[in-house]
Amino acid sequence: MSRVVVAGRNPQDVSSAIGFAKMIADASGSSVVAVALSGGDELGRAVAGIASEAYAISGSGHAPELMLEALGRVAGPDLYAVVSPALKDLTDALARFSAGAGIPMLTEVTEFARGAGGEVTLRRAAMAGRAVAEYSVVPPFAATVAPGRFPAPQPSGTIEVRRLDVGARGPEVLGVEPKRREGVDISSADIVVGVGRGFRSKEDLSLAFRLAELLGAAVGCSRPIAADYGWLPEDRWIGISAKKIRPKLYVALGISGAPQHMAGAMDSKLIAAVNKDKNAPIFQYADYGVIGDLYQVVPALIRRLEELRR
Amino acid sequence: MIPWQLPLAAVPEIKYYLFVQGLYPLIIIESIAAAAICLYGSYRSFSRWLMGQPIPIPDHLGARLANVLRYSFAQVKVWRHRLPGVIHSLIFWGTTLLLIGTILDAIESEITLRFFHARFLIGPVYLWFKLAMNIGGLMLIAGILLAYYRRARRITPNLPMGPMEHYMLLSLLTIAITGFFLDSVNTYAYRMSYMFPYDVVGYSLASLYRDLGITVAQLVPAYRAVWLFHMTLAIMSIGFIPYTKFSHIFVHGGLNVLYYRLEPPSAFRPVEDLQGKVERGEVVGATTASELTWKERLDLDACVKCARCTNVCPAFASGKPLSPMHLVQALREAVHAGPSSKLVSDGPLAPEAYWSCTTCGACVRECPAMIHHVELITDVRRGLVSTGGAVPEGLSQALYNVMRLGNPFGFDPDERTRWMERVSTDLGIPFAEPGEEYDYIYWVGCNTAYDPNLRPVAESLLRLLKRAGVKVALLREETCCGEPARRIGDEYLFSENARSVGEALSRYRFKSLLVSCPHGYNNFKHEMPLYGVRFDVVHHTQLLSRLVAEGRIQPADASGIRVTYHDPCYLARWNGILEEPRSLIRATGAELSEMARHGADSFCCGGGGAQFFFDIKIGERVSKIRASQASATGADTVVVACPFCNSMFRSEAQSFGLRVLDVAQLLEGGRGALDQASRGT
Amino acid sequence: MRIAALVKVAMDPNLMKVEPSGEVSLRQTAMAIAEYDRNAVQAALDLRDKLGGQVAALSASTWGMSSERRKDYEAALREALAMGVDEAHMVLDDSLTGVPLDTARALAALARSLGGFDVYIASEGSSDMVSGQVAPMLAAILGLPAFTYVKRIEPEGGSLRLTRDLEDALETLRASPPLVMSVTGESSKPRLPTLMQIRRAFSKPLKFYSLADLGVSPSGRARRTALRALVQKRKNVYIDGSKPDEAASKLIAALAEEGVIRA
Repeated sequence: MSRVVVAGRNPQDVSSAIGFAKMIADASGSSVVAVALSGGDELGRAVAGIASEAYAISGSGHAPELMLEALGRVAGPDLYAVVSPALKDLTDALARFSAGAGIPMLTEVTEFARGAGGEVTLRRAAMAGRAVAEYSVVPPFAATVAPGRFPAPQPSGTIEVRRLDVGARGPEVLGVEPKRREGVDISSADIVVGVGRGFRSKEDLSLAFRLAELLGAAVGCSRPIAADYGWLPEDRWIGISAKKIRPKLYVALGISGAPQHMAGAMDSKLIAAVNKDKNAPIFQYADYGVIGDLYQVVPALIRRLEELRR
Repeated sequence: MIPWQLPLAAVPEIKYYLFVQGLYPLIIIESIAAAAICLYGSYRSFSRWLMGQPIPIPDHLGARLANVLRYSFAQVKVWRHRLPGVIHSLIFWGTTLLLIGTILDAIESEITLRFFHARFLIGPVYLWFKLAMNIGGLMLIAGILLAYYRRARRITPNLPMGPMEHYMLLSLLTIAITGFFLDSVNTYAYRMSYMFPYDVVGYSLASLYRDLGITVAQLVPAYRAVWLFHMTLAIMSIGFIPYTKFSHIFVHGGLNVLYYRLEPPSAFRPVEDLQGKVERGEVVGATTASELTWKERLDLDACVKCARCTNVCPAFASGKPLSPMHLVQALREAVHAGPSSKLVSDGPLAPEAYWSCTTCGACVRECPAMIHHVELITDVRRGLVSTGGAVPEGLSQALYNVMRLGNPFGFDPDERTRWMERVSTDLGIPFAEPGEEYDYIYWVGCNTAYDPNLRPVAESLLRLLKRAGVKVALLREETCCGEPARRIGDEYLFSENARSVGEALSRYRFKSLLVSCPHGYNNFKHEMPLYGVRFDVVHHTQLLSRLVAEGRIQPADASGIRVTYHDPCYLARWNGILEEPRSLIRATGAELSEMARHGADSFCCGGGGAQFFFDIKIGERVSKIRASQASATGADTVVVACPFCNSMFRSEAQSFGLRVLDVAQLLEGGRGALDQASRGT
Repeated sequence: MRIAALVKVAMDPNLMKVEPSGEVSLRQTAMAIAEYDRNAVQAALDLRDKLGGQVAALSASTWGMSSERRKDYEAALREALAMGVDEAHMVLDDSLTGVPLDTARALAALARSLGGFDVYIASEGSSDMVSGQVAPMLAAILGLPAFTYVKRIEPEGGSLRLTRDLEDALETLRASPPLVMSVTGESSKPRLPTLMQIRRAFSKPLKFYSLADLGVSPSGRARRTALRALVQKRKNVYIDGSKPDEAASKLIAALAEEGVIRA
């Protein structure tokens, strides 16, 4: 029986991509094999009833090299696919594994379908979300998916988690500095208010937070706010190399709409934008675009919402 | 008694060197020393300005000397402000009289008398001479006292008052006062009976001595001391002119006016040997003192810190890190520090200072020393661009967009084409075809062509022209005219762009290029010709006012509406087009309330000089200041004649309850256009 | 130090053109260096400035059109040269269709044919496709260590101190060349080249190669079969914000109408 390996740094990672793995496995008549860098029993609880095998790595070291080694060990000769959530260390490991094994890989896949003659069709977003690229791929292949994009079946029963002793020689790690977190998960919020360079100071962001409060929204931001100014922690950063959001409504305030940002926000069902620069690309992506100074428009929105909520 | 009624012999001759026997050699030594000091200082100044280049021989000498008469002697720019004009002229003309008198004195005593035993300051001439000297001295003293008053009362903001200013005023005052004392003793000694009223001050003082019973003999020791002091101070002040702010008399009054450009100041100077510099990999523009032109270095030394530039500067007024006066002073220090000193550093020379300039030209218009601040700033911007220096991201992006997409905003060029095609179909305006002849080709300009808020301006204009039977066409090849590139300081991109614009336009036959953007107007009129691209160009307000005057356009009615008109810098100040837009407003019957700063003295909207393409985020918005000035007229409608101004005012319109519309829209729609504007369409 | 900057000539998403068939027009969409690849170039230049040596830009086509758009490919690479790269080499071959595995193989062959490099720097992803895997794939093919998502590069003696920017942490590592890395968009602020810099870079070497020249062929395991433009589904309703209160009411009414907020 062919195998679909689903990889994660931890059980949560595995869960966030196992829906995709299961879909591929069902379509191809494969079994699901789960592998995580950590998480013993927890991994078992997460994949029981979905995966037929589960492996937790016992060694310690640098994540991409550990995972690369582990994938080599669990893939086996009848590999059909390797999948993982689209996270940095995992994308790294999968890419190195694929190139080493000579199998094609696609990241952030949005659709999978079986084609004729054993080929599969994979689709993914391109051109900053303005186009869809379609590939015909001969399995085995590797793919990553946005975490949680394909819903995972409910785990049931138990499964034995096998320890995998890997001794990958990764690079010398000099230090790990955890990032400031606020624990907000903008990727699962129903409404997101995004703030961008149109804000003149960190203090002024309170306008956006007040608006978000009235809308029941989470606050996200564009690259300069998190990366350049450090006004907000990076878990609020929306973009290609950061969080991708899929809200019902995205309200972009003072955001110009660079492709890197929009690629993280394109899945929003409805986009409203406030920007005083009518030339800003954000207006091309917006359903409703208010051309005006956010310092005037946002307070007006707040006033109006406060009236309505009263 | 009237002088000419006096017998020649009745007026005594001047007794030179009275009471000061023995001091003469001292004065000769001082004079020689002063001359040496002065020559050395001048030599230093010249070598600093020229930095090895030969001094150019001025052409068109007649026109240049006329400039010297106008600006240096008649002081027309100084007189743009009344009190400073009065003060400066009292001091300048007073000193000039005294200097001429002293020279005449010296000629008589040292030349005509010594070698020819002849005199010319005799009889009535001498009396007139005395009167003139008295007037000169009094003017000087009055000027200095007024100058102190002006500074004590801080009548002019930002006016520096340091040791140099005290030295200048006090040295002149001392020379004038001691001069009067010396004169009075002479008068007391031998010419009392003839000197009233010609030597009014000397005579009055002499009378005082007489009334107090002081004898000449008692005065002699003091006289000798004061004489030596007066002469030393005067001689040394002259000797040290090249080292003090007095140098402006020659640097500005003489040289920099003599070498002042004969072409209009809005024909911003191009880079010499641009292609060669690009090919050889040299700096284009200026990063160090030696890369400025010799004339720029000369101009810097002409600055007298009068603060007029700074006091009209919109960047300064809005709290940006630019003060033209301090910039010029800091650049001057850089030049004095040596050829390799950097023009961009910190303080007044911070990159942000250069990037804060809107190129509105208010400083250039004001500067009595004929400094072209905008060209200086542009040269340094060019230096930053060509050496990969501190260029704001937005501006690098704008340049890249111009290069790649033919517009500074980064729009897909197809958007311009699509809109033009729609206009062409809807309004029946053809695209220019080779072989066909047109009255005008309308160069819409990027701002208008891409902005949904500004496109109606072009559409109004085209409807008016069509109604007036003007044969006008659109240009399929329209692209960026290059103005933003030139303001940002990418001269190479500008020159290449100008060449391709020239090539595109030369395929068609038309009388004039029509523009609705003053920046494009200035570019086509004064800047592209610098690179050999010449087309006759007309601004839409000029054309419309002509058509109204000829009765070919019936202005819509806007009577009973009060509006104010904002003069675009590039139309009014740089190009003197003041009347045409106003005549159009009047033709609609609208009532025009002028802002305090209007016409050629207009205050920038904040959008010029590439400010439109980035946000400096320091201080207030210039546009906000201007909008509040507009609002202060009581009118609720601002009429504009420039897409940049239009956008800048629109961004402030809400806070001030202003409606913004172009002259063309007012002319076409009258009150209806105003109603539309109020609905925000 | 021989440094290679990996540069993709990408389609500009903001200037996307669509064929009547609904496919993205590979003929008309403007191309340029992928935005973050400018960071890769900048990182390579910075490293050269610190350690000395040469920087070569390596590229492989992903959009075909090798004859029709050769000028555009060339213009994009000239930008890298204008930024300061010493020479540029590109595999330009219509059988490359943007399958990252094939791209990485072509780049590896190109690098080998040039004698190999000490440091290879790519970006974290290209603006048109954001596949983000060419750097680690290249490392695997060349048998070199890979360091992805690098935000900071600090030379330290003979080695490099690299800071990787991960989702939840900054990770600092010691790395010794030869190696492959990918840098993030935050790693530097690359400058857009000016026309003058491009003109001055015209004398620098720029060479094209076909896959045959390099003796490799595509894996045949995957190919891009379509690139469909999404029908513009955004409504693009503009609201004039110069009257904020009116604008606020309009926007809130519209959003309530859409059922995404409660009004």
